[in-house]
Amino acid sequence: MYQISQDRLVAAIKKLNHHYPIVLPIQKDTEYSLKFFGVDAWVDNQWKISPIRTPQPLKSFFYPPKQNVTKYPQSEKQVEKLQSLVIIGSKACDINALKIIDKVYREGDYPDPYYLRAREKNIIIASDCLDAGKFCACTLMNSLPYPEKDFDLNLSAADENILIEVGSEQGEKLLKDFFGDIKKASEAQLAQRDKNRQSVIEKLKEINREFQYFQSHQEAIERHLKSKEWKELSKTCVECGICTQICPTCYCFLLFDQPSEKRYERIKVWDSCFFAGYSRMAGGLTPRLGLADRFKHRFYHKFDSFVTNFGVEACTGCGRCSEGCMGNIDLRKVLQELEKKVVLLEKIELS
Amino acid sequence: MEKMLKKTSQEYKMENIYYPLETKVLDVITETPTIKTLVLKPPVEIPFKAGQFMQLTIFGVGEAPFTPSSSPYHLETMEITILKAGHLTEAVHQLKAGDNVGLRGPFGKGFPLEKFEGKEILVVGGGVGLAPLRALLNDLFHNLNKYKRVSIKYGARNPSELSFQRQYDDWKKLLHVDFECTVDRSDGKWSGKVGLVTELLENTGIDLNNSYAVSCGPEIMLKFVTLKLLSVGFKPEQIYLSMNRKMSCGMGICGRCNIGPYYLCKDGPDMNYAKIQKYPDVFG
Ligand SMILES: Cc1cc2nc3c(=O)[nH]c(=O)nc-3n(C[C@H](O)[C@H](O)[C@H](O)COP(=O)(O)OP(=O)(O)OC[C@H]3O[C@@H](n4cnc5c(N)ncnc54)[C@H](O)[C@@H]3O)c2cc1C
Repeated sequence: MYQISQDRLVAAIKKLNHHYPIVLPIQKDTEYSLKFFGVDAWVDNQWKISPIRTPQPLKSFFYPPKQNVTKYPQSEKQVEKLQSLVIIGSKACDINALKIIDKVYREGDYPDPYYLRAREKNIIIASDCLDAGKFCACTLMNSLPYPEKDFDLNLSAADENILIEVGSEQGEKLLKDFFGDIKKASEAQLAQRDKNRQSVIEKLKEINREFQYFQSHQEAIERHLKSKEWKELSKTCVECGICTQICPTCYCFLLFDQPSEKRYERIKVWDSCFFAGYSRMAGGLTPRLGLADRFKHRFYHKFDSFVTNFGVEACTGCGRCSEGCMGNIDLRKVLQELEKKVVLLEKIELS
Repeated sequence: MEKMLKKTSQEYKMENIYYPLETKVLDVITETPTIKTLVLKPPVEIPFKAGQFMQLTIFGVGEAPFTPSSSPYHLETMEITILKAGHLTEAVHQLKAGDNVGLRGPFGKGFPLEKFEGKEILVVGGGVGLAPLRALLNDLFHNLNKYKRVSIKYGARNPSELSFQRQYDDWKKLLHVDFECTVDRSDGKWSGKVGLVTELLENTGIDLNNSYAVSCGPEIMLKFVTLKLLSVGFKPEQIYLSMNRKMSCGMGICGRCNIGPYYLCKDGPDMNYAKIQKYPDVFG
């Protein structure tokens, strides 16, 4: 564990930027405009660890919303090299989400070469959360507001300085090459970091006090496979699909082809299970035609079938879906309602 | 097709799984007014199992999943039989000998032929659904001594919509193979059976204790065939359905083709009914 002053951290980032493109969250005016920007958008020479995750999910740097995946006919059948991108300030919920997507895009029989390439090349300089947002729920989803692994470097706040934890060989090398002479962190600084972390956990507990689950979400959803409850739960959904777009673990996509110069190109775009066209087949048959069915599918996939197939839930509690929802649908509440109904059902069955 | 790369590669010489292999159309056979068979000549042989499917690219139009209808034992050419159903399949029907298309695959698991050995196999097709089943039939016929009986029941909307008519006589001549077809509506000249394909499932004489049923066709037909098979005594475990869902990637990563936790593109498209029966959207 090392320590560095704010000024020297900023200098190191600038130095890094001579070698790598960089994105990092820059706070503008309100919390809500906290976004990942390239370092050139950052003008005031100040950079601080952002309090919580950005609205923009980290996944967009690993599989962009729209990507040209091939040209045909007669073109390079292999995927080209990619320059490393350094992503600074990523939070645990986003990093855990990449581990979830890895199960599909990286560890299956057909790894996506573009995702694989980005996973191998991109450098993640993560950071602790220094606060908790209203919708933040990592602690409800078996996770924590700071990353424990799967980063190259991690930044934590302690007194005036920033602590740097090394998470990989690559991180070690970055530290040596770009951060100059740096000191080891003191015991007091470590204690301060732990105290900060604990206070964010306490805050998260407070925010989520009303949400207590007694059962696995999978069990609750299994009991509702044929339930009418989904209709009520999805009542205010306007089918905008934002929950899936900003979700750090949603990975569905669609391929389409279009002419390009004298050939054709194949484009991969993010898709959403909230759109009826998502599963529409020739002849018009759509397996999940009704909104309630599509709504159910999202929860079923994240908390039930993903667990069946990969042993983990496809949610890291980042809270973006609840925050972005125009219909004020809160994922935590949906899960709670489902559970309440199961408890009711069980009571009825018992009596 | 050049072998798809598995697992992580350290260097960036990664095979592009989205790239379609250019393939010549050798011939186009008109099966019915709405169904055509493309005879393709892939630049390299594409080994596949009966029931596995390909992603077919029509240049500039896009891709859609189709199951080869030719024999897994004849790889010099590959036949794909396609119903005109919309945007991409309209373009398929415009193709001529000499045109180029693209192929990715094969994808999916295919039929569990090992399980079928020593059994009586009831093959039930509806409309263009006989196309994927023809690959299976070709495989069964190639090893006919391994199976006790192959019984084919086929239904189409009207006599002109019966595909592969040129082959029925050959099929009927095979030992332990029987073939029966029916149409929903006769056209006057038709002297065969009129009625839904489910009616052919009433008295099959099949040994229920030693058989499997396999079906492919429109979703509504699959539903009624399944109900009929159950009512005549088949157990869910004995029924394999070749299911359709919208697919984009074919490789289990784009998300949409699931029935419950099963993704048809990698766990199917031929599914044991016992596995999927509890899911509410199994028949659309
Ligand atoms: C495993 C598998 C094997 C198959 N094998 C065969 C086979 O051997 N032979 C055969 O004939 N067929 C087969 N099919 C079916 C075949 O894939 C479809 O008929 C084909 O995809 C139809 O494409 P189309 O563009 O002509 O149809 P369209 O109806 O034009 O559309 C194709 C897709 O475009 C989208 N789309 C079109 N219009 C809209 C709209 N208004 N709103 C939203 N979305 C829209 C839909 O998502 C639709 O799935 C198979 C399917 C599967 C899954």
